[in-house]
Amino acid sequence: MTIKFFVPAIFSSALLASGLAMAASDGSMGTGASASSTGTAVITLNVPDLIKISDMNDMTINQGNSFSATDNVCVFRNLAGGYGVVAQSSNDANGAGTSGAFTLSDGGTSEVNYSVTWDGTPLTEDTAETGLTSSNTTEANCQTSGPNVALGVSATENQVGAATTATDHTDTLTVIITAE
Amino acid sequence: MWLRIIASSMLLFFTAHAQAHIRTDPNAFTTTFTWNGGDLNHSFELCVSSVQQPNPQGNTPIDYAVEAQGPFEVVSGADSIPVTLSWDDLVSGQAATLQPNLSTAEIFTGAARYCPGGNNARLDVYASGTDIQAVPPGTYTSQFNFTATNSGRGKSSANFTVSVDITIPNSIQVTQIDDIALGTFDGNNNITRSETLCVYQANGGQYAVTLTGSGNGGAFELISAGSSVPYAVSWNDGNGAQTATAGIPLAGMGNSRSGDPQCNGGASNNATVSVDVLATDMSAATASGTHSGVLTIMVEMQ
Repeated sequence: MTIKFFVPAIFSSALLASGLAMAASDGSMGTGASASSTGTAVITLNVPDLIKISDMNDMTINQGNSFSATDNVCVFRNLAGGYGVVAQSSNDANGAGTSGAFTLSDGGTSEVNYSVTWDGTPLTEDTAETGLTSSNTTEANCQTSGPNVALGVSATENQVGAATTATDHTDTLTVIITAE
Repeated sequence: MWLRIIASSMLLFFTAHAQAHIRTDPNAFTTTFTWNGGDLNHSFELCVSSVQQPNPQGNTPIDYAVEAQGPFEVVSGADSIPVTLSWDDLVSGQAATLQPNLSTAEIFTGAARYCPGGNNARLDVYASGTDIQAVPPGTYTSQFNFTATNSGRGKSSANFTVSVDITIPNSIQVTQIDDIALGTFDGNNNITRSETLCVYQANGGQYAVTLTGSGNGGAFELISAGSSVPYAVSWNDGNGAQTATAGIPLAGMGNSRSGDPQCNGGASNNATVSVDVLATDMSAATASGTHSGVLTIMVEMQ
């Protein structure tokens, strides 16, 4: 059984209007021994609100891991801002945008429901979990700090037992994090 | 008979003193100065006595003409600066630009001996700052020879000279500087922006450049509300980029432009300054919005 994850996301705020006046100035002519001339340039950079999820990997749950797996992912949110997370199942019968169930499918009629947790907190399919804070505010890809959120998936024996075919059941789990 | 000869000689003696006359006072001028930018404008006032014969008292002025020998330029070795010479009649207000080796008409108002009413002429020496800037530093000299003439009989011409000595010191200037907009961080990639500019040095020699930021101690930092993003700066004089340390001169820079402080309006800029910001540093900013800093560029002679 394979669960696939999809797409890191970056959301940026609208550009902040810059009130900084451009003011490059040429140097004046310097004459005579050891003369010099000095000019200036103003350098500007816009840093937007940033948020990014990375380090996502496919997961497999089976009898060998008690139908439970965890992927440690990286959530970067600059400026120490908050964020919310939404997980969507591609097999959810209600479609994207409407809460439903995390569902693995064999591509036919056999389905297995499963659960998703975000750092231990259970998520409801297509329902935002808000008010979260990232421990990583400086590294877009957790280069040195390493992943900081545990994304867990699991199915109970009863859920697995609901399958009507003995073949791989898959789902694409989309995780969207949104700056708050 | 000896008595007749003596009487005749006396007559000739007094006649000679009564003939037409022209002279200038003074008859030699010298000007020495050091150029510090701008056009050269220098004037000399003088008295041109130009009187008619017969006139025992020398007080019947007549008009005169002026001619100067060319070329009209001051010279240092193979380099020269064109000069314009103009003659002003302080009595009539008439002015004329002189042409090399070509006399004016007799249009200037002469004065009685020693100009009892004050000087009646002025010579203007002019050289454009652009022409001066176009030549290498050095000492440029020339002696201009003038002749004033009238149509009276007797002594009808007077010669005078003007010596011009211009010292052009070496000079240096940085121009064509533009602000550098790094844009918006995309969350992933480093940002590098380069701007070309112009380093002029009159002698075309080597220079040193010192780059300083506006952060603490001159550090290269972009600031916004307490948030600081460091950046790196490099300088390329056309011989390869060199990383700058804030406030520390990069010596031995070459390719300075002589003759044109504006590098042909920027079309011939001869140096490049580059600003590099790492994605990791931008990610670590503690405030959003526009971060800014001032990069100071000082070039100096070596």
